[in-house]
Amino acid sequence: MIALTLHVMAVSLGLSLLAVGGAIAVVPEVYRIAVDVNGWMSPQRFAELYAISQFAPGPNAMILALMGWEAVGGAAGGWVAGMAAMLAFVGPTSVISVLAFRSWAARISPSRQVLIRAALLPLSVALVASSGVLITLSLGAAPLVIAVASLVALTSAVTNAHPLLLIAGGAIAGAAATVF
Amino acid sequence: MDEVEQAKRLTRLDLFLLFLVISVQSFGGTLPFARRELIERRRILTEGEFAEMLALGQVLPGPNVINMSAAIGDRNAGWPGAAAAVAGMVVVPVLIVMALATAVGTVTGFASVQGGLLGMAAAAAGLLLGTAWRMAKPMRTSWRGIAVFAAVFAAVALLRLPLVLVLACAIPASLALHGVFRRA
Repeated sequence: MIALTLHVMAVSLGLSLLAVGGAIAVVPEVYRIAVDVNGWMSPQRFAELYAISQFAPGPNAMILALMGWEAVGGAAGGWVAGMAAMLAFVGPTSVISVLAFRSWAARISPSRQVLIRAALLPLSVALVASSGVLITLSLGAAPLVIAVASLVALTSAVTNAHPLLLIAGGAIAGAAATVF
Repeated sequence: MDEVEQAKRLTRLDLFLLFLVISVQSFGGTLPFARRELIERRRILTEGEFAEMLALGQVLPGPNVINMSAAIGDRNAGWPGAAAAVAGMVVVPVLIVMALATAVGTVTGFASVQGGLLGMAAAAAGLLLGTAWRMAKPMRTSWRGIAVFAAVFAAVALLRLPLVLVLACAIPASLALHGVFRRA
């Protein structure tokens, strides 16, 4: 279990360095590593945990804690691994951030910062969209899944509906579908 | 440093509690809550400082608002301050999310709970697609942006290539394409 916890921490640390434009950008890579490479969970379980992570408060990075928690199999060891995974995700990048803010980052000219952000934006957008597609596919792309996902995608694209409300709506639709 | 300046500094405990308050309210993203707490309610940053720090946080690897919280912690109380701020952002939300996953795990035997989880996950996926569309607003008419988007999307979602490989190619290519290396 200790070896697995250390493995999860190493994965988390590696992922944090790839988080361009935010933690949400690494969701496809979390999927690849947790499901495809290490078999820590099934595709459907990954999608469930991602949904749970979105239903809890906190930064988008919470899926990393649940990755660690699930890899070790919940229970007490899972709690330790979940917390360890999160600290590995935020620790080293925070050190980089402090050093960068203290020195060079503030010296990049504002016009160049604008260009760097413009260059990184399409990467972040592509990674967020990839996450959406991968999670939809991992749910088996059943008619209910496609219907809920497209309806929520459209609603969130054109209105300011609260994300929590949309996720709760999806949960109700899914639960209702099993009753009728 | 004069005394007035000293008095305004936040202690480690202040920093931990400040970011704890932000993180536990943050449903569906930390940004709006960080903005409200840091600018409007606590007046720790001005609108301009916030935008500037967030922009730098976005350029650096790691979660944006956590990068920003580390920098604010450091400014007020050095390394221990940075650690306190980051701990405030993550420790309690991690406990909450694991408690939630545990609670959900005890009731997954019911068909309606499984259906609910499926619908919830589908909604979360839809939310990501909607978010991508909104984020893309500044680049929807830029051929450079669309080209980089298409290449990265194909590599990650369709070919399922390792992210490190994709970023090693895409970051330099996109920076060059957007003229970051050109002399000012």
